[in-house]
Amino acid sequence: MSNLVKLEGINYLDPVQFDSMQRVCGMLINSDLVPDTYKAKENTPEAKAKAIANSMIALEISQRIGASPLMVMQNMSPIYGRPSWSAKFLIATVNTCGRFNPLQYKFTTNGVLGKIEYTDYEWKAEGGRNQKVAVKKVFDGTQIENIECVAYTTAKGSDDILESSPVSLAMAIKEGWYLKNGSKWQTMPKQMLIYRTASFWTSAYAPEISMGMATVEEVEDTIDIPHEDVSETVKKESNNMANQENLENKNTPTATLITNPTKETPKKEEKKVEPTKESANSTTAQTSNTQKPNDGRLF
Amino acid sequence: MKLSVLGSSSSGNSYVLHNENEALIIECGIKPIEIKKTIGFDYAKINGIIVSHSDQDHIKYIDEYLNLGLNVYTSAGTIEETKTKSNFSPIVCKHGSEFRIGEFTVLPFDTQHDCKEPLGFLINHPECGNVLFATDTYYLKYKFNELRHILIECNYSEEILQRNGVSNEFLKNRTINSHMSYDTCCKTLIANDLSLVQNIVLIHLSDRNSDAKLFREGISSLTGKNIYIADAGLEIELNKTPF
Repeated sequence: MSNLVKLEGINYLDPVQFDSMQRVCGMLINSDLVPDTYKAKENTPEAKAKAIANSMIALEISQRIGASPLMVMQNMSPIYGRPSWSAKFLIATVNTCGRFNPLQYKFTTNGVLGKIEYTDYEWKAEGGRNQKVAVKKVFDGTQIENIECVAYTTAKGSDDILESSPVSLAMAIKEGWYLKNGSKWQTMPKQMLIYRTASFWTSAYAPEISMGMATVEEVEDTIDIPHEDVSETVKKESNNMANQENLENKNTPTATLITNPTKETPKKEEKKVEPTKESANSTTAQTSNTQKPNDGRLF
Repeated sequence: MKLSVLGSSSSGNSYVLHNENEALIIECGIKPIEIKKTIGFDYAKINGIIVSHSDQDHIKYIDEYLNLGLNVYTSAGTIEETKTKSNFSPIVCKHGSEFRIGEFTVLPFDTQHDCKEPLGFLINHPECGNVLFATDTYYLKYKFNELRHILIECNYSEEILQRNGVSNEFLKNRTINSHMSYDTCCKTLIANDLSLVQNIVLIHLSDRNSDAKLFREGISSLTGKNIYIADAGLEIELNKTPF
């Protein structure tokens, strides 16, 4: 492990450390191996500053948990603006931290799911405005087995089994994880059960490993960004407003150049022969009022 | 007059109307060098560039165009949101006030998109007559007279959007609230007098939520006109008369 990783954390108030970290981050953001979040999206000072700031945070976390900066960068993703660990990184960290034996998973099947009542939230027009309304729905799970999973392991040197809370498919449906658009619970339920129970286990027995961060899968399942379904509003607006007016030329000078003392007007070639009018704050450039093709009528 | 499509998608938009002596560029979403190849390596032909709105796929290379000393015309709202870094300023144009760029006359009109002061353009040139250009708008307020050629957005089909099951509701809402659907495109076309129209070019098709073949066939049977899909590399003649 390098000296860098041995540090307990970056002291942002130490100018020497801060400068060193900035240079390290400057190098990392140019690597092809780091994810796009940590790379400058454009070749501008602002984009580079943002990439360095993201890298600095990743570097600081990597030092605190004793992991390689690249590993942290590749496994920490911002989901809806929240940094989240990938579940496999969390499992790997528990398995290699030295305090616990590797996580194990116990699956049991509790018959078929049957019909499960759950609460969904739908946007409905009520009182002239769209509101999110709780709607009771029934999920038909008569063809689906209700699998339950528990993550468990033992602390090294102890025989006490440390078990996570059980997570089942019935719970996933009731919590709304299973029925979200694009949910992986429908396509790979066992994998999601492993990820979720591992996450629950870590939150219960070693929260310092995840440092309070949820896993990517948890955030995607539980964070419901408020939104309004605009389909009907747009349709209504389009029906009422579309193609109602005839486009008219207001016959006023246009194409004005806002004068800016710090910027120049592009010098155009001799092709521009139209006269320009000048005023205190703006310059009229190339209006068609002096030379209309159809006597001022719209084309 | 020739229309060359250099890009018509979220990865970059650029269209060039050009003849032997003049060129009008619509949108700055493609590098100037590509334009140069299209117009035969003669920058002096370029009369100007008009830009509809401030999304990256439309203004990405605006600084490069400005640095070449070319006149870029767009709305004050677009300039405000673009924050150009060039030493040259774009030129402000506004809804309803026409202006000339060489032999081209351009009448900007307001469109409906989720950014500040987006514009569409009614372009006239003696060689090709009136050309309507409307992109990134979920409907058009206006009807247009004596159109000869139409470049109109046909971004998505509601059926395909529903079928694809957009996992991100924001993305779905943004599509509906800022882009023109196939149905709206059809309604817009038939709301206008198409008797003089020769070519309709469907632009800015969504990669995921559109079906170019179905759109072309549907609008062709609706209007009876030549329908083109604006794929990069498309070149068509836009003349006032079809002969």
